[in-house]
Amino acid sequence: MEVKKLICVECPMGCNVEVVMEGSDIKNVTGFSCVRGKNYATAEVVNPLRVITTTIKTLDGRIVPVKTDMPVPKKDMAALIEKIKAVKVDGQIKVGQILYKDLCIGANLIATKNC
Amino acid sequence: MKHDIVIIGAGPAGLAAACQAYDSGVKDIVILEREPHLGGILNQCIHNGFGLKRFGQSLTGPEYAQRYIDMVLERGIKVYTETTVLSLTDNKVITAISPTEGLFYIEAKAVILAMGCRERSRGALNIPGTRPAGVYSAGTAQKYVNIFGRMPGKEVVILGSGDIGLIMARRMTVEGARVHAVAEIMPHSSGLKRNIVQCLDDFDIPLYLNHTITKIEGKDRVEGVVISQVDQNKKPILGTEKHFKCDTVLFSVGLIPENELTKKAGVTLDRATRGAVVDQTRETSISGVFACGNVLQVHDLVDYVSEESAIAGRFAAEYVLNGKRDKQTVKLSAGENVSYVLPQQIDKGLDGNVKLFFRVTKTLNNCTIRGLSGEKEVFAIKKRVVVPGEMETVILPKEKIELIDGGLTVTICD
Amino acid sequence: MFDVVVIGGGVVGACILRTLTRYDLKVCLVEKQADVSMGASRANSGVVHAGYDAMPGTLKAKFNVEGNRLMPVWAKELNVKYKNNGSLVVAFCDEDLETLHDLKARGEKNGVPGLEIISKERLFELEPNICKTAVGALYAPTGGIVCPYGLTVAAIGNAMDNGAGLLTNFEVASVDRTADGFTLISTNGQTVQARLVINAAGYNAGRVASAFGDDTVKIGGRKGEYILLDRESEGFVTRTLFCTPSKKGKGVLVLPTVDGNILLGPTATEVSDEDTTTTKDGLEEIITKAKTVCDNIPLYNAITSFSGIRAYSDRHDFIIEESAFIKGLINVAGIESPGLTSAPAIAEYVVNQLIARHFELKENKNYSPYREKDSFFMGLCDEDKNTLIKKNPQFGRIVCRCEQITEGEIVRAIHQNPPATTVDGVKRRLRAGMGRCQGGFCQPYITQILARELNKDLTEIEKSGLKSNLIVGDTK
Repeated sequence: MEVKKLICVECPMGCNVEVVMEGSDIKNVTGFSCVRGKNYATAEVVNPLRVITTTIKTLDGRIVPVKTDMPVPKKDMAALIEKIKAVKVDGQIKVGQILYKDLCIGANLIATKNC
Repeated sequence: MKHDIVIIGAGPAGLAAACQAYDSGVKDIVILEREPHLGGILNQCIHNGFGLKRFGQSLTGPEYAQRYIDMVLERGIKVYTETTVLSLTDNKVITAISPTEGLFYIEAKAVILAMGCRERSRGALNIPGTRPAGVYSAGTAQKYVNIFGRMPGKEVVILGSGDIGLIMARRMTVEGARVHAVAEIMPHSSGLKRNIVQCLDDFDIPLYLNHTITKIEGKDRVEGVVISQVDQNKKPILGTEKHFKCDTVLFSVGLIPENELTKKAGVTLDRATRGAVVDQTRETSISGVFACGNVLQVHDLVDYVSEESAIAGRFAAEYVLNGKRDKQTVKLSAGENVSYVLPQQIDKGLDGNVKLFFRVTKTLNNCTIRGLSGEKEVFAIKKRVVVPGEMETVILPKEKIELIDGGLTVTICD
Repeated sequence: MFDVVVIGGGVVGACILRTLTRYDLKVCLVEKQADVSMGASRANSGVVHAGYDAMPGTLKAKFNVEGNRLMPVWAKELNVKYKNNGSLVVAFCDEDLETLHDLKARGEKNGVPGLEIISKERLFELEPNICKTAVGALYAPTGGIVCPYGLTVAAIGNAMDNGAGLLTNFEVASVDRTADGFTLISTNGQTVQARLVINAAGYNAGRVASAFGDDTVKIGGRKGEYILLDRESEGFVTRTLFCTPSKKGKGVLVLPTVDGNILLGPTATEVSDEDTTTTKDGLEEIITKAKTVCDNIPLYNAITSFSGIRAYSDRHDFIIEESAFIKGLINVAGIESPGLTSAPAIAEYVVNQLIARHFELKENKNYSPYREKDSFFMGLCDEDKNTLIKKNPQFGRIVCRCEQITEGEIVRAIHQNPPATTVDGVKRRLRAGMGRCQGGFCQPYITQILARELNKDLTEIEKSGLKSNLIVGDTK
């Protein structure tokens, strides 16, 4: 049995939610004040996801802000940041333009600014 | 030069005000922006989380800005970039300067102030120590990293857990720096919960609540800092010092509306917000001069900035089209546990609901927000929780406004 | 080979250098830091003292009164901000009042004009924010304020315009005697030859004199901390307010700066090095003491705190003389308060009396005493502004929004005498970054402009000198 402690981020309440786990099974969730809190906690312990935002450089040195167009597994973040930083882009870039297809689990890397 | 509406600032406030003013029937609008690009500070806020309320999706700063830039361009609104406003007079004459236009004057029928805010600096805190390189406000560091692609340091300590500080903790980490600590003098963070979790916890960055930096070391470049725990009066407690070796200190210790032009024009300011005193149309004490966004009150969410700026845009347009209104204003004031209420005045002569924005001075659970006019309770709303870090809103329907007699005080109690 | 080399780019060295260029002499100033005005001259009260404080007969008394008279002339020629705002020594008890009479008598003996003891009614009329416990004051109408680093930079710049040389990052390590003078060798291996040397090295004057073989110059240091309030507080006080000195010690000053800020300080702590750390105790002391002078000080308007090291000699008077042991070495040391005020008068004396013994002083026919202000743009009329912007659009681009400084002025300061090569150098010349945002908005742009103009990478741009780099590398 393992107890994971989380702060719910769904609203300003910031409930301290505890999830009791046995292996990868959720045995019990306590401390939430609403169903959103329970769902948040469940997702966070099973497979937390994050959108990555960072910048990359064009070949001529311009800075392009980028993001993953959907959340990606938090556990893979460090590796994905390295992968993103290695992406080479060139020419005029439009907001929303896909700079790298299927970075992982179907998420693309897209530009967030016209550069 | 003469224009119907002149908007100072092309950040989220200025852009939203321009679009709404245009859509409300005034076509002769110009925006003056000091930076070479539109979008203001959003351009360097490359993280996501913007637009959840306004667009129903999580956008990055540049994406949010782009939506409004496109709307402004579609409408053919004239924009002067690299143009700094030097002064504004009480009869709405603007002096501006730019490399291409030189020094020029604009006579405006209405003016919308949308200059945003600035960060409080280290000096405002009187933190002892040396004054080496490597001390930055979080926003300055953000500009170096996200716009210039340059790193202001590698070993970082952050003072203040405001959202920009939290965001920069993650951002510096993603770029390979090590963030050793975030110190917060208050017993709670002033940042959003989401940012605590996703910017600090995700990267195992410790947050020291009730702590402050008590010394900065290093002659040429920062070499270390000392952080200490503080007591209830925010005074450092001797013996609680922790030393961190670092080359960079970031400050995220609050935002201050940039109201130097406003003040010089003679607009009445509110001591609590450090912005103009306005009615629900966002009109200031100078008729035909409106203010919106962070120059009026520091918002948590850009979505609220857009919402507020649309109000200013709409009423600036009405001012140009219909002229000055006769007002029947009542005063709003902050009562128990409330630090300010905006607007500070309500014109009872106008139709429609009024959304009140306010901040609380402390965290309260299961509390009641009350609007009192003398002895009379105009409204009472129950809330599960209110926190100082997040702005509260209450919608005041027209029929409740009718009940206000003299003034209205907003209080919040257990 | 220079006729005269001045060691130390503080206000004393600067004023001497400028005075030297009035004559047909080959002169140069060496400074150990990356820029001039980096020691006490950048961090002091900026007070132009009337001259009632120094004991009659001392060098301090002599040069103070004379310097007070010269300052407005120098400030006008060099376009340095100066204001004859008057000063008040405030008394809070009967004992203080007695001291004021002593000070007045002393001042009159020193030749200070217009001294007057005023009633508390008059005092509150002049300065309504003084604590109501005040009982009277000594009013000195000739008291003033000046921008200390502005004066230093301008005097050196003007001297350079008139032909003087400047070597920065030149810290004297050793000195070789030569047949007709000295060779100065710096810590980084540069050399300069001089027939005559003026030691105006401030806190380091003792060390420099020793390098020449003169061990009689004994210098101590006193740290003074200050708190600076935003210009929003302009008018809180308009005159320089001193507390009456008493057995209980010295109070702090509350005074305006020439730029409209309010300055509180200084403290006085003995130090044994040039460490300009501000301390918790020091800052608290300033606040406590300032509150005994004025009510309702707008401390919420604090924008920065800083400290400077004031050098003093064991004689407790200025040392201004040719070394008794080393011919050709003139020591100008221990120039503590009222050193800033005295600097122009000291320079006149050093050049026209001491140097004149070594050289025949022939007039420099090309000498011009004038220097244009570094931040001049906003002072122009609209028409001139537009003519300039048409010629150079950089003057239409405001970089520092708080102080309204244009890119054109920054570029000019980087290339004119003495060149600004660091972010702080730009700040001291133009006030860019000195306003309420403290460089939050403009520092990245100023760094960029410096890199572009000096043909360097951003990582090579320093805040204030060696190893104070602002940027450490690129993002990944």
